[in-house]
Amino acid sequence: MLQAQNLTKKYGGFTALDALDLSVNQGDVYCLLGANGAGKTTTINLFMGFIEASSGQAMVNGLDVIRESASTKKHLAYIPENLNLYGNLSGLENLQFFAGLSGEKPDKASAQELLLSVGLQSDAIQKRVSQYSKGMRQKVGIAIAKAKQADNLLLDEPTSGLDPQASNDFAQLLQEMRANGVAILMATHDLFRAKESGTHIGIMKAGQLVHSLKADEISLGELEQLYLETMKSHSHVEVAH
Amino acid sequence: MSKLLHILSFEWRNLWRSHTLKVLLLVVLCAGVYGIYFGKFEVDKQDARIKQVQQFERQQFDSLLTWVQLDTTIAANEKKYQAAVSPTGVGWTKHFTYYLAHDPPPAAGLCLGQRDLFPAYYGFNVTDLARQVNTSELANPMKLLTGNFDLSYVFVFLFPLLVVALFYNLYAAEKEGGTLPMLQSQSTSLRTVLLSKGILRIKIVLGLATVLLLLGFLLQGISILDYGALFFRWLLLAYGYCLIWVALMGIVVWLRRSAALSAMIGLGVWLLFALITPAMLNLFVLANEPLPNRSEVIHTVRTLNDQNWQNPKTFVLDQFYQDNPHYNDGDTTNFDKWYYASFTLLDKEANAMKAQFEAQVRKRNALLDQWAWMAPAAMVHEQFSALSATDRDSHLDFVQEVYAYHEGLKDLYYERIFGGLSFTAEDLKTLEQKL
Amino acid sequence: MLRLLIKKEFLTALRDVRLQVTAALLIVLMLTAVLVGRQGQKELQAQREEAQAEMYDQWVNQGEKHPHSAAHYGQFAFKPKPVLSFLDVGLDNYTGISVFLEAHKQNEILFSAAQESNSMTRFGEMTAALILQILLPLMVIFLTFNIFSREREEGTLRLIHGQGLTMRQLFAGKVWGTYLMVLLVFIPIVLLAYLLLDRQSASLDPEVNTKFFMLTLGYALYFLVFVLLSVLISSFARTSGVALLTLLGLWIVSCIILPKATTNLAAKVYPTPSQFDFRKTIKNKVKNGIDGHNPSDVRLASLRQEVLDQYGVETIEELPVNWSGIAMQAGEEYTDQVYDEEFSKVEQIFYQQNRVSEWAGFINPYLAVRNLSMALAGTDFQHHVTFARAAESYRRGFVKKMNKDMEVNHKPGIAYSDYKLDKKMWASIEPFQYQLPSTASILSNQWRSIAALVFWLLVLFGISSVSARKISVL
Repeated sequence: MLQAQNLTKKYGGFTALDALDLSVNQGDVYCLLGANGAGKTTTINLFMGFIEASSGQAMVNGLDVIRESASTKKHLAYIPENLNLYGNLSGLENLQFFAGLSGEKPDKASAQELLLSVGLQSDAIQKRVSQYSKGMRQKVGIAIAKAKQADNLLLDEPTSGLDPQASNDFAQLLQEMRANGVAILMATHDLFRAKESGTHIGIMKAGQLVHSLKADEISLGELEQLYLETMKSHSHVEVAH
Repeated sequence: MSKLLHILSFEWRNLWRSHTLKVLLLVVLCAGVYGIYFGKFEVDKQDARIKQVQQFERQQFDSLLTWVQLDTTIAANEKKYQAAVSPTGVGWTKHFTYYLAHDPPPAAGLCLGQRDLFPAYYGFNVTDLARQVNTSELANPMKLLTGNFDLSYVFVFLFPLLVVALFYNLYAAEKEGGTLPMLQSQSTSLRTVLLSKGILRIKIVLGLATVLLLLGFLLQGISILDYGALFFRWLLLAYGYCLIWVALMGIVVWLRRSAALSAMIGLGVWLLFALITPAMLNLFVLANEPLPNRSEVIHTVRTLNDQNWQNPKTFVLDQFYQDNPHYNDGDTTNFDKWYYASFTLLDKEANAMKAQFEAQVRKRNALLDQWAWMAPAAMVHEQFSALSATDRDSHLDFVQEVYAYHEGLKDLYYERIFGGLSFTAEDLKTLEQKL
Repeated sequence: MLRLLIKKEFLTALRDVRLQVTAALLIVLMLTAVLVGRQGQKELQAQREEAQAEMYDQWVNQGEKHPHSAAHYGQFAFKPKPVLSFLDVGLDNYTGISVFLEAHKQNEILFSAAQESNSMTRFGEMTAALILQILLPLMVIFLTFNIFSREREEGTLRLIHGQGLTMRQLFAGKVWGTYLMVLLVFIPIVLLAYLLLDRQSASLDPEVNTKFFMLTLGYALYFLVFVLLSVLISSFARTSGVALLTLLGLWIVSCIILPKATTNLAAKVYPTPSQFDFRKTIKNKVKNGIDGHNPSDVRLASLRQEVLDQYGVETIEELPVNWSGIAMQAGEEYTDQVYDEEFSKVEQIFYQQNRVSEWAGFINPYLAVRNLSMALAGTDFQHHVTFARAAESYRRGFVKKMNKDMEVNHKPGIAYSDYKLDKKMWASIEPFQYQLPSTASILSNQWRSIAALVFWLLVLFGISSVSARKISVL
């Protein structure tokens, strides 16, 4: 379970994230929408412990991510927008390496099985990652998350730049993980994917979570309208200043 | 611990599959093997030269041994017989020339040190030593300037570069390769990962050093069993030096700059400690603390020599007897006694002068030593040459041996000269043992 | 258009903080090297001049004695420190500095500075040459390694290309802009060094200004070679990282590893004879004749017959001249002939060894400039040999004069100890004077290094003009 309580991040006078309260339960897929600079990536970085909060708390399974850094990371998996792996190692070796860092090094057979289960072609498994496409690397990322049996997954615009086929494959993998009870927090620009894969949708602007709603409460058209209006009022605010 | 091993094994695969590591290791290995081979070549050359003069000496002495047996009733044999038995030589200058060699110490081939600047042997007769030790070996100054490509050079110059090349992107490669977020999202701290990567690189560097040193002992035919202590001291010194560079690079990594900047800083540190500080020290000390003028020793010797032959016999011998009462039989008229006493007086004065100059040189070198810590590369090179007994001090020790040897010879000769005796066949046997 | 591009490159470099720091460091280092080096040279030169004068004074005031005793008393020759040696110390720490000149013997030039110091000496002295040859190229590398890739990554390359500029023009702009930056560091030091030149030693080196100019020119060419090479490599490297690694690798190989390896290799290809063999050969040839069939006693007998015939007498005692003087001079001359022959052989071997590194200048421009610089600064092997020959010829001169005097004036029948000369005779021998070789002889001796530099320039300009078009915009 991912929880943010009054989570705030300031850079000097600039507030990147303003008193965010958020909770993602097991089996939820929470999609964060918003323009660039709205605070989506800051939120994810705070959950990952890459940066420290100015005030408030980010918690994973009830543990503070800064104070309990090592143990929270065991329960966390992360897929950045551009997932880079060691080009000189094969997908299999990358999986073994990263999962091993979290103390869950799978043996070769189960690692292979995992990679197949995320949809990697069997002949690709032994190839060096430098020959992988972005979609293939994302799949390895999912496999790493699965290998370490993380019950929380953070995704930062994972589908940007993926072709529709790869994007669709990816969405299916997320559904699978959700079904297995993983809490997923995903920052995205893709309204369609958010509506499609998300159980919850949040719209952010200027560091604040402006709307938070359940995905099945709203149609794609309404979501688009809500999003655009939020953005517009955002620019109104700017003009007003 | 298991995590450390886990990271080590994957990092090794990762490193090994990038060609950079292979190329680096190959280059340093080849340079090391070439250095070992070249050191062996140089030492063999020194050995051959020493053998040559020793053979010559042996051959000459063998003639004396034959000549002493000659039948002097035959007039033609008289000259040869005299050459063998006369302690004053024949016709003043035909003295037997003895050679004392500075055999290359066991590890000389690994660090040729300062040996190329000095003669590997001295040839001298029983007259004054002062005019016989100012010799040198023929050497192309260009070669002396560029120095020797031996194993110590590889350790002192190339290993730090290897360390820089292996460490500079320890962090930056993760950052610039984009793998940093994935690493940070695991429950192992980044510090542990970087530390493990560092340990792997240390293992590679020290491993290569060990391999090269083993190869050095093996290829140069130095028995590790017989010279185990020497091997370990070399190894320790090489390890210590590499670790200093690892520590310096640790600081560079800790700054977490980009790969390009880290490489430049690393190279800058190398430049500073391997090139700039020694050259600066040399500029300040070598160029601005001029060496005492050694020619004055030669000048003094020639003046003494000039005066000696004008000194009355009583004057010379009175002084000589004072220092050497055991030769004092009251005779102050004998030409031979006057002649050889003069040489002793000459040496005495020259030695005093020489000691004075050496003290001045030492004082200046002490100034260099005092600042040597600023130039760890030069300091470690000096240590390697001291370990291998190829430094300047080892040569000076050898010169001391030459003086002692000359004294010993003189005792044998002077006893006969001042006793008015000739060498017997027995005496020649005693001399033969000193060869 | 080119001027605009050059200006842009120059300003970019000038405003880069890292380069400001590097350039400032280089300038400080060079100031120190030049000022302290000049001071050191001054002191050493004064010390040697003083010693030379003192030793000559001793010679003049050696008292009354037989001319042959005086020849044995002998003189000294001190190697003067060349005027430009503070810019490039070259071989100076490894060659002897003084030689004792006496009858019958060609002594060695002894007492190199290196023998008096520990390993530290082997790491070289900080001189302008070291900075210009080794450190300045590093600055060029830092200036150029990302000169194309940065613009490629930032997209300005496309922008410039879009303005209708050809890659060739852009390439030229980058080369000359960088070169200008290098000159900015180089020229002030050149001017300072020129002001510091010792104007009093004109007798030692009358052509010092020409040499200084040639030296400056040599370095200017070397920098251009290095700038061209670096810009060329960085223009074709895929990323700045690759360019940096390639350039640094090249630098390490050419400035650190190759010089040593080349010299060591040369010593293997052309082995140096041993001092023992050298001396033994001379001894044997003097004893048995150069051809081995003219032993010394036979030579002496035939000389005696010749002299007797010349004066139409039967015995030595009847000669109006001193036979010992004649015999001694004849012996001296024969030894000189043998010595010259053997010394030339050794000298040739050393020249052959050095030539390996001169030819290697065609592979490694650093070696070309190193050899040229040493030669022009008066600290290379040629200068050492010139000094050795000058000292030896001085020795022959005064020994001959002593022998001649003995031959003519020491009449037969007068005891050795009764024939004495005084100060007048000793002072008639001029003090030892030595002049550095002419610029022309230095340049002709170093033609390989000069050719190597020109070769590099031509090749690099050639490659650049052909390949600059092919530099990728993306």
